[in-house]
Amino acid sequence: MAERLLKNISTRGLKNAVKGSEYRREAAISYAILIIGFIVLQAGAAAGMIGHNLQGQFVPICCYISLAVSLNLVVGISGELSLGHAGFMAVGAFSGILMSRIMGFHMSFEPAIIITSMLFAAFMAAVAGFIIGIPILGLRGDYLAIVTLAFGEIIRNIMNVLYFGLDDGKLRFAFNHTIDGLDNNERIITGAIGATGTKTMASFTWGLLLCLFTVFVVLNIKNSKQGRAIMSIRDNRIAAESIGLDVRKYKLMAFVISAALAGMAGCLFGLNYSTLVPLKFNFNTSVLILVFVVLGGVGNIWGGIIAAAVLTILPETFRQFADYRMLTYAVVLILVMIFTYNPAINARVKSVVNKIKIKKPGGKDKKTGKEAA
Amino acid sequence: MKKTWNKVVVVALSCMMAFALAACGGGSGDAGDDVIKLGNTGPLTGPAAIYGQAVDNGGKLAVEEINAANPDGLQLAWQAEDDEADGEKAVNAYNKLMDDGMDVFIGSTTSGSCVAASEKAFEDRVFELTPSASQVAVTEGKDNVFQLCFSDPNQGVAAADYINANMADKTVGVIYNNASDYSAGIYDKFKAEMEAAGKEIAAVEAFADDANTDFQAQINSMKNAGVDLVFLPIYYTPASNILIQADKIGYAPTFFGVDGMDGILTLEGFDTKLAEGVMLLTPFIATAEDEATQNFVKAYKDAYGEEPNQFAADAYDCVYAVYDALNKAGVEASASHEEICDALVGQFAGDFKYSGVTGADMEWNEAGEVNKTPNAMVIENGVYVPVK
Amino acid sequence: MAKNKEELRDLNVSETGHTYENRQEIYYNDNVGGRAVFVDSKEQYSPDEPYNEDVYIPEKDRDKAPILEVKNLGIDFGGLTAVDNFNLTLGRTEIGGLIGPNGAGKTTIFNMLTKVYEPTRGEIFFDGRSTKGMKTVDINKAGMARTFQNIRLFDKLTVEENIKVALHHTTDYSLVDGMFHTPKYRHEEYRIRKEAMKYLKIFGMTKTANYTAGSLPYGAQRRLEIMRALATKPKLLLLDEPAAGMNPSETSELMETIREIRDRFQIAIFLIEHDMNLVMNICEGIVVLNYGRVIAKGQPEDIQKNPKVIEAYLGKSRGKMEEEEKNEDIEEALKKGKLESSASGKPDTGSSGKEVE
Repeated sequence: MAERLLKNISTRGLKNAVKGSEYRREAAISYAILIIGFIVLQAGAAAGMIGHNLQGQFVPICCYISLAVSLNLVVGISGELSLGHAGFMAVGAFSGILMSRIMGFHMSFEPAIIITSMLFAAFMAAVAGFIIGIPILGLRGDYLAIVTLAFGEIIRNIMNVLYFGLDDGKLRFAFNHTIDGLDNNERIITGAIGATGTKTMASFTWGLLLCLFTVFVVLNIKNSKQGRAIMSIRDNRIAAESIGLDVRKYKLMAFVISAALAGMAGCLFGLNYSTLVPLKFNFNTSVLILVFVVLGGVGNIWGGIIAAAVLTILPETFRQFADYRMLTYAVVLILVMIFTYNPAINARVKSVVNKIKIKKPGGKDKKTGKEAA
Repeated sequence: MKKTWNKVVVVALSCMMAFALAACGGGSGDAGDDVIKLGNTGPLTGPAAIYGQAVDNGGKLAVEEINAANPDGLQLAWQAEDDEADGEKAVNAYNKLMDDGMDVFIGSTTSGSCVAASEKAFEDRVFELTPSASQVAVTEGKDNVFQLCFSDPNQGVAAADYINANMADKTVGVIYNNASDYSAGIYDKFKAEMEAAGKEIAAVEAFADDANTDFQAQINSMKNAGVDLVFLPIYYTPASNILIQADKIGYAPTFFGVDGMDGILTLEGFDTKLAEGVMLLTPFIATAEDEATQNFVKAYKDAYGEEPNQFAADAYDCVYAVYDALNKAGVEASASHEEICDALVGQFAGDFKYSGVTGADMEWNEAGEVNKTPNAMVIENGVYVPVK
Repeated sequence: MAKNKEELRDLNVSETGHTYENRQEIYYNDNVGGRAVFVDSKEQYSPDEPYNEDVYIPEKDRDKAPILEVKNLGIDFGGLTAVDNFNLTLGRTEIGGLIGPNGAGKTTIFNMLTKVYEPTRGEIFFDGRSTKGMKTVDINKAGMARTFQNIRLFDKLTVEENIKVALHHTTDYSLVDGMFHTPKYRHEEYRIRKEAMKYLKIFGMTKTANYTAGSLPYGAQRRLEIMRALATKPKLLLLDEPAAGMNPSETSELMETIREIRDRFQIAIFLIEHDMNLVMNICEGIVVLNYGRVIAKGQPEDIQKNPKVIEAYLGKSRGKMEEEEKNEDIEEALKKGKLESSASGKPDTGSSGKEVE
């Protein structure tokens, strides 16, 4: 199969090497980026070539990649603007931490703890997504965006008044006031102070598994009848209705699945830090993920993967600019946006790229059916 | 497809750039230096920047003084990284410091960040003395993490004790930030201590963001409940707004703050007359008469053009205390950070005592908490003055 | 003893030996495979009541119940009566036409039939059932499909995917299958892929299967829209200005397409059009609308000569002489349309047995 791949690359060019539909190509590129990236970075870390700073970011990068891909399900595939994605991340993070502490009391086999926590986190986030989704999906466009923003903040504020503790294996819960009589190491979640004393179990391998799973689910949906239904509603709502598709059902479906996946990412994020405050999951984080999605191309899965990874690392690499760090980051972001959307610059880059590319023998340009130049 | 292809090219280029830069920052840097590197993370940008910068300034000043005064002895180096008071970024900043060869960790400045970073310091066996992170979770379960400042419980408890001892006739109310681990933590202990003493809190109001600027609802609630002492376990930025708005409606109770209030006098654009009469508990008073404080204040003013606040003093003391301990333990500059850690833990958990500008005879227990006496301060004529 | 195709069809049995609930399923199955999902068809082979004199139904459909019966349909928007007293009976395999000047209310009638608008008065009986209380989604499930005046394709999906969306309800796998690509998913996807390709083959569009719908030329987009409507296996196809923006050769291609659809699948087609060439050639019965009211109904010859129709399109003229001249000119023009079509050498044999003059 590898030989065939190589042969295809040489005759048809890298872009068309993978035979079959757009879907196959998108899937191949996405999985390739994830797996190759993992192998390269893991090898680099083992060889001691990667500093603490970058290594410490492996798990957060995986989480952000997963969040970008799951947000793409709502923004790109369902065509709705969601500004409260961090809220589902929060639900997942705190549910996951809670479950991991409870299970950690009874066993120490980490893979089991992690998987149960992630499943529980996905479930809780899905429930949150469902509760929020039902009332708002009758709304359109901007109104829906604003309401998702509000719900993101509501979730965060609810987290601020939740108190959980583990008293000798028994779960204790309080609302809006501290639980009395608990030692610090028995507290799990303490309102605004957030989750403390979490045993950090996350690792780069789990991060990779999370990313692979998220990409797997989202790409599969994209290429299924449910995905087609969702995309058709995005493209033309009235036509979709006239074909007999239940608009609300499919919008809700995309929303809830996206929330569940965000919950899983949040869970891994929470299991990566011994302490986590609800303040972390505010509007800024929601926008951050949205920036990954937009920069990578709305609806483009592997674009989101690359954007999430690069934009997470970028501010850290700018530390050498000391005080000008965030300024440089903002400037780079603006430049990238301009460069990718400016037609004049696009044309320039395209002509340079064309000169480098291998000229294919007069085949047809797949998208437009016109003969290649 | 054109757009996507261009994006790929641009992104690939920036990727390469980023990785090149990141790789440059790699490498372990435990290579036997001839200096002991002190590292700090704190909010150098953002709403709590005054603290991050104060710690940075105080630490730098101490390091410069020590190196100048002891040219033949142990030499120190200082590096501060921005963590925007965020736990995730604090871990990244800590990792950057490790990449740059940090030997001793002075930080983080804020509690939330510190708890996250301390976990790493504990794993990596790096000695940590935080100047200002006051949550108990910072030192909990970690034998190599110590606090120079009071832990939050103590601040809340000390405030309640002081108020009950000296101002028992006042009606007490509280305005706090329920989204801040720092503020909520202090409030919890304050409330518990007041209850234990059998004192009632007449009114409690909360707000959810340090960037909040409208407190009229909260202030009116205090006023309507007849509160004449408002406890504010919050940072100076929201406190300043509360003072402005209370003054507008002619409501003038006594305001009582904690260490977060420090900095209100140097807040740009704030009319310090409004802070007249504000009280706070602090270990550091810039107008104290003793020689050590006066020297520090003068040196700081010369270097940075303004009076130091408590955070600067904390960082200053941290550096001196660590230096003192290093010498007492006989540590060499080429030692690894693990060796330094063991030596310093031995000192601090043992009989080591230090007297500095933030307290005399400070000593530490094995849990990492400090023992020293707090002072009460009041703002008079735009300066901090000890309460008689 | 082997029965031939026609006999089998009479017994509701298709070539492949399956028994179907109604005839239309057979036609769909034979042509494109797949499953049809028809809801309670009340097809009868002889109507309970014979047709009235003034109800025009083509010969071939007289032994079957009408597919659509509209009685006194009307709608008011606030104080404005957009449509009033609209009556129609459409034969089971009839190609009907709805014409009239711009703004007469034609698309409004389509919208009422498909319940995009709720009628203010009147009743619609589709395949013997009243559509009261049904929504657009239900109408589609019952077997009515429509295309739109301004093309409403799913632009970013490919041609094949557009058809597959129409086959949504007959694709039988759950969300879990879709998320994890189980064998069931693979089986069903393979099946509907074949079915979609069959549709594309009928319309000669197999080469464009992987092109995005938005990138197709205009004529192809129209064909795709019709195909997509057809993929929902309707019994009645509503086409809203299918020839809009087409040149004469595209239009005659379209006429062939429409006839072929009707012949292959034995469904009824009701179309709105301004192109008289197309209307007069393929429609068996025509309704003319002006200001929301029916001004004429009947076969193409009758409509062409009807003075009210002429007046509606061109308005009253001043002198009588001018009027007569004008009328003749119009007649000529209308007839000319037909003549052009016969000049292209394709007599309309159809199933109505009527010939073009």
